[in-house]
Amino acid sequence: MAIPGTASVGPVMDSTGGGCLLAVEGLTKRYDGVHALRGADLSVRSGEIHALLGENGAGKSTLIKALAGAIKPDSGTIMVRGQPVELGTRTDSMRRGISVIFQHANLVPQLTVAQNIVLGGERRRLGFLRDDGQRESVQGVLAKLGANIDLNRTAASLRSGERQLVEIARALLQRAHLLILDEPTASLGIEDVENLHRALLDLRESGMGIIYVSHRLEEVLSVSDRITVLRDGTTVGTRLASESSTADVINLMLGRDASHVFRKSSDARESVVLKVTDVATATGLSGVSFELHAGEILGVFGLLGSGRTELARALFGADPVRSGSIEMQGEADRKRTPYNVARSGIGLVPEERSAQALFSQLSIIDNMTSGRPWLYSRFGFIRSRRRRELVDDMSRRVRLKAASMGQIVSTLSGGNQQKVVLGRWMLGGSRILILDDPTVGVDIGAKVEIYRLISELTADGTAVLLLSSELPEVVGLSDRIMVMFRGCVRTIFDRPGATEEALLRAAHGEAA
Amino acid sequence: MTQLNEAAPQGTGLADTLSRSNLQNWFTKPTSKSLVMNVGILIVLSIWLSFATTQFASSENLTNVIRQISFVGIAACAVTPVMVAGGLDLSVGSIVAVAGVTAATFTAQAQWPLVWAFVVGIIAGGVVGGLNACLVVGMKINPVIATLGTMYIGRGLANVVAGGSPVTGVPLEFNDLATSFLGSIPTPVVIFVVIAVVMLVMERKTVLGRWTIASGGNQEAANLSGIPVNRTRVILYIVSGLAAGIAGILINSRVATGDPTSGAGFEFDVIVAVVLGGTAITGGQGTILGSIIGVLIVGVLNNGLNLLGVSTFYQNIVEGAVLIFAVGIDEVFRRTWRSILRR
Repeated sequence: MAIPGTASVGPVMDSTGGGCLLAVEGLTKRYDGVHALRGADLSVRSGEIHALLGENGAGKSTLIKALAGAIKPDSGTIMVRGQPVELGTRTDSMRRGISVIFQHANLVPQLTVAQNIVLGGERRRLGFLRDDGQRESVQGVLAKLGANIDLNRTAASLRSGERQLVEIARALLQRAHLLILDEPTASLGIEDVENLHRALLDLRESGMGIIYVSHRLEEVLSVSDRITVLRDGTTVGTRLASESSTADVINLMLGRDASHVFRKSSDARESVVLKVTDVATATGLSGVSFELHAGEILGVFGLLGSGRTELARALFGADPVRSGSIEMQGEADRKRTPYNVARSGIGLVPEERSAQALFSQLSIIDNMTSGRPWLYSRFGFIRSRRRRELVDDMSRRVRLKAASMGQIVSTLSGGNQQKVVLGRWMLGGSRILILDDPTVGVDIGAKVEIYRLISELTADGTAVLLLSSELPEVVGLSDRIMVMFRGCVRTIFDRPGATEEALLRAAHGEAA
Repeated sequence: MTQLNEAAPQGTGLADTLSRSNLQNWFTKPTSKSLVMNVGILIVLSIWLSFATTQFASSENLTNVIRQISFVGIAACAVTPVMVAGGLDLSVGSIVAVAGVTAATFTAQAQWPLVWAFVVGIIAGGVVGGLNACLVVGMKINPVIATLGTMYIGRGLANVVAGGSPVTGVPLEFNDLATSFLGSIPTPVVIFVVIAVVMLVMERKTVLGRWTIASGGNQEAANLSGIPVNRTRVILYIVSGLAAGIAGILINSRVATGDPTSGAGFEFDVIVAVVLGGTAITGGQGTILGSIIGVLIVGVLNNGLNLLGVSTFYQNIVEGAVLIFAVGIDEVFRRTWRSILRR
């Protein structure tokens, strides 16, 4: 791979700074036949913040897990300070000075801040705790991060920004040389992000190497020194952050000009198929109002905790609506339950495919036909041949790649699994499709096909509510974009007015 | 990140430990809430019983209550950490029979000295605990199923060894352990107190105690912090088996034989007490002190129902209702806990 503009992996440089802390070469890893990594390279120096970028499914998480010692790569080398190392377990990795802060909170909610920071490294004698003596150093590392957090609070009572800092404090206490942060800002407000970045810059000054993984490109470019982009499990380039623009990075990530992936024209029609007025729920939505037209793609963007998923659940009848009204065209006047909603021609592709959408031990047939049993049954009895025909037709339409329709879905790739879920709601036709992050964990090829399917559907008049955390996707596909913030609709942009920057600002609650 | 925090950096002095913010922190823990509530329940129940019956508050009766609860108490102190670490042990009732029958057989048939026979009985309990650990930790079998299996296997083994009826030919001194006094305190109570203290120290002062909470509270985080989660759980299961073995020796000593039917329903009493004491069935949460209060409540309740002349059938109904109530309360607490987490 060409690595323009920067020194590639080389021998250890002088020890004062710029020394090569970590060098990863040709790392590969397969999971059940799927190549998660196929030759990833990465080099990180002491005293730099190195951004690791790539789309979902590009292999970032797998690479991080390999560095953390949580998985064993199939081939390739990892060198720490010029020495090849084998990172078989977490302890191996920690002993080499590598500390990883995973995306999902890694604190024990029932333990206090102090207990969490020393967790696994408690000072002890003959098995008895001596960690009272560690309080001072714990206090010290928190102070170094500019955090003033009561050591006796339980981790459960911390805000997400505080939790992040506690985790970094833990890494500092373990004298980590290399800190890896996986999506550290996903759930943080602007102020917390700034605090975090300030702390990271301080750590960089002290000579620590930092790998920073994030989807928020502008944020990443502003804080990091170099960036490395992964695509489909391979390193496609390492650049200086100061010489890269967001557009360059996106092109590198996608491997082509981003605009080609998405559709051009709008299929929106006059008739309103969904009218939501002033909806509030116990799950945190309040005063949500919008209209959805036939054939329209309404993008819904928001950060974690903004109420995107809650909106999808409320519309589908999975959570009760406390006040306000949801009117769907042609909907029978029945209680709003998922069964009745599905019956009236609405489909939901939920956020977490394996946990919320698939019956992973069942076949493609069973999974695809689980949404609308009335299409192929009579008096409660399944008509197997009819069901078979339906699934065969649909699998051709969504271009499913599978050995047979009897194949167990857990053995399919992420993209094909998602096509099964989409197919479930395309069977019998849906007037409204609610898609919650439909391309998470899906490779580029399948992504493009999913976009093509969405366009096909809207051409037929299906209205799509596209909830997504990926800006290029929302901007590229939607006719209008609704931005949510803390359970409310912040603004609704028409496509021409929606830039990624404007969306992000609105999603952070800033005035548009 | 500083604006929400009023607390200044703290030292470790006594005044600090008792400071208001520390008390506030203590009260935000769900285990503390259930502890306070349970102590309240225990006091109200005791006051009510001492008015409703004439015998309850007498020193003989109270000694009797304490002696009765010490068996369940010993096992509860060791089952609590197993559950906090995210496990469960249903086999403790059968271990009572295994330990008792083993000890009785060794004295009656092999003529071993009493002390060594008791030791062998306790070790037999530890072996069943080790088997639980192999199944749950080693083979990753669900703890309910695995310990339900060893519960039946243990009961069967005790019956096979004893030949289906209590072991005969046990020396009279076998009875002394459970019926004797140390000073004016019944020996089983002394043993219970010693075990409770040891387990409390383990819980609060050792790395094992800290790792127990971490393993059950967030297994992923514990693993990623380099904590030996499996080793922690193995030790806890073995300790649970050993403690149930000690309880089994005492229970069988009281009836002066090795009875293969002893300890039937014992696991139920233990789990009712532990869950009532605030231990979450999902792990991560629970204290030994809480379980001891739970044991006291169940003991006082049973004794009170006896004194009031309520038949054992009704007692079963009450105990079952208490278990459901305790889990219901646990569920409510967990929901508020989760909403705190989400904030």
